[in-house]
Amino acid sequence: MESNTLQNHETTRKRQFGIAAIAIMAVFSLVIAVTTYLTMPLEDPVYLLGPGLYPFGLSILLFIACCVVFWEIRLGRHDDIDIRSLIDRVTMKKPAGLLALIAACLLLLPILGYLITMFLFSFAEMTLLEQEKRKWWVNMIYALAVTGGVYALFSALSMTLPEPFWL
Amino acid sequence: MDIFTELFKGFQGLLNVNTIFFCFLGVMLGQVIGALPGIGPSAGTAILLPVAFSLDPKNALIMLCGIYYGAMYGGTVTSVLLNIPGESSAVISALEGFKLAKKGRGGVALGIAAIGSFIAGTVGVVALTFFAPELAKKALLFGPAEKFALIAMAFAFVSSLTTGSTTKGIVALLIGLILATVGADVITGVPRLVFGTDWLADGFDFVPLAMGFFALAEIMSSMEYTGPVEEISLSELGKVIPTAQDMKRSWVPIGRGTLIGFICGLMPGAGATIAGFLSYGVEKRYAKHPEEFGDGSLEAVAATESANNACAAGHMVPLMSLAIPGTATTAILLSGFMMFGLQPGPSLFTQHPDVAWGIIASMYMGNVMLVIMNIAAIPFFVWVIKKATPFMIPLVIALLVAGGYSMKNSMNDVWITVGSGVVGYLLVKLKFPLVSILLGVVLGGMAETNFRQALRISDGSMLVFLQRPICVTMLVIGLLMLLSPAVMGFMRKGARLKKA
Repeated sequence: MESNTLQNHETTRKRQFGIAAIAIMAVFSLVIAVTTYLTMPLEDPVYLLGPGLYPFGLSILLFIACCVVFWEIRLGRHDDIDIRSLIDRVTMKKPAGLLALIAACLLLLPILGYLITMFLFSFAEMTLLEQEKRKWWVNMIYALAVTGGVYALFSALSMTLPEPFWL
Repeated sequence: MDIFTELFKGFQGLLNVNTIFFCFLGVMLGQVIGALPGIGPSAGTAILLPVAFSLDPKNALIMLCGIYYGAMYGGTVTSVLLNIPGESSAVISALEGFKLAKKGRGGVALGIAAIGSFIAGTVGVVALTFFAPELAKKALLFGPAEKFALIAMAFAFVSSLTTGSTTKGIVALLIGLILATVGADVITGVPRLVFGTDWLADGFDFVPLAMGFFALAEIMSSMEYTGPVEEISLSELGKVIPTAQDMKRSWVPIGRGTLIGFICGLMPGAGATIAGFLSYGVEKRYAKHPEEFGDGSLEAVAATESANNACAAGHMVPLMSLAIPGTATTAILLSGFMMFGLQPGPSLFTQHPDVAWGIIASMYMGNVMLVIMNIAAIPFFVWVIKKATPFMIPLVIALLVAGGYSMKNSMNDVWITVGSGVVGYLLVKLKFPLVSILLGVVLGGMAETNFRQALRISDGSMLVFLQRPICVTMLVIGLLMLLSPAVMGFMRKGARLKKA
């Protein structure tokens, strides 16, 4: 009885997530449709089809497809979605942690440059997020090797990487 | 005769240290990438696209293709030894190979997988050698309407075959097609959907999107797993070289797997995973010892590994002859061709025969390199995989950031990579196929140009798509692919009602 209730609750959550996602996509399609309709000609005197017709047509088709998926979700045809990692704190901890580290890394990149920022990122990732715990100085050597290796590869290929602001 | 001459020239072009090195590097990286859980061939090729951009086009493409088919071999190692499929097409090898390894026959499973992969890969490349140029010649006769119909058919195949839900496949594809329209219109030059910003004026670059969708999203998914890993040590592996008895049992499954894999490869959307499962089903049906299936069957490993390698060669046929990619990795390879200003399809064989035949010839050489590596160097690869695992996530992110930035020396592409990684991660959870989005982005421009040119030729009449039989046939096949799940559903419902 209790397991049935739990299962029903999970199914409801899955459908809520599914509907939320498809609603966002439907809104996206409407924004595109309205923008193209208002800002671009749908017809062209020389080329017949204006630049706006193709994206306008696609956005209308996307809206219709979203409505069909919405209807299918209501019928329970999309209950296979995997929301565990989106609602379970233990499962989402590491992906969310990685994302936070990447965001911090991208904010620091124009200031500290590639070498320092990626070294800090690699060290933090290995220390905080890796399953296997190692001594801090081992992580430091690994982080140096990774960052130095990628930097050397890109330098050898004459590809530019962000420099610190003081250089 | 022409084919043999061109192939010979392709081999001649390979005979320099640089090209042999990049072929070796490609298959070696592919082997490692395929074996590392959490990073597949699509992620590997996407990450290395910016690096490849600085190389000579032929060498770069030979390396990227090497990663693709090399990864098909590599997936087996972690499947058999760690019970973790390095990439999705190695699921069956994990199911059957790991059980064989627990019985002390892991070495034989790896040996048979390597031999099967080599045979299937080579047969696949032989078929590619003969099919691709012929198909490309036929494609020369295609006008804009036929080209649009062909792309539409590929879209229909991918939307209906890559996911459980065709409608979700269509939604994903349409999102990709809309993203492809961002930037200046190719015909009139009018900026579209740029919302007043400068950085969208050139449209969405394919590389950051592919890196985000396939590399970052895969890395984020792989971080969810926290459970313990049961592994087989190298001392328990046993002999790698199969006995005559093992070979006798495996010949027929290898042959059937090769055939199924190659046919699946020709169809856009039917990837190596589908080929693997199909050949597993067929082997189970015709096996002399069906009781072994699920408990460690050598025939199953032989058939599925052959199928996924033949499939990789099969996918190169529509890619090289028609510019139609059937999987995420071939979509990334197509963008690799475009990055160098090369257009796969008929013109590749006529205008750049050195590249086209160089790639085909390199696949023969790469398969030989791979079978040697997989029989002689298994302990070395296991060692590399174990040593590389702690580095993997920081290394991939470091490459993503560097690759994203160096394409245009701009942080915008790095943010797009991260943004598409997050969106890709969420879409995978919600069971939307990322490959459909990617295909929409890659082929969207081509589809639109051909659609508009066809309508211009016909003065705006849609009947232009119904005037030639080949065009109608392709559109009808595409429509049938899209409608087949609904029709099958109705038929099943009808049968159930009849029974009741």
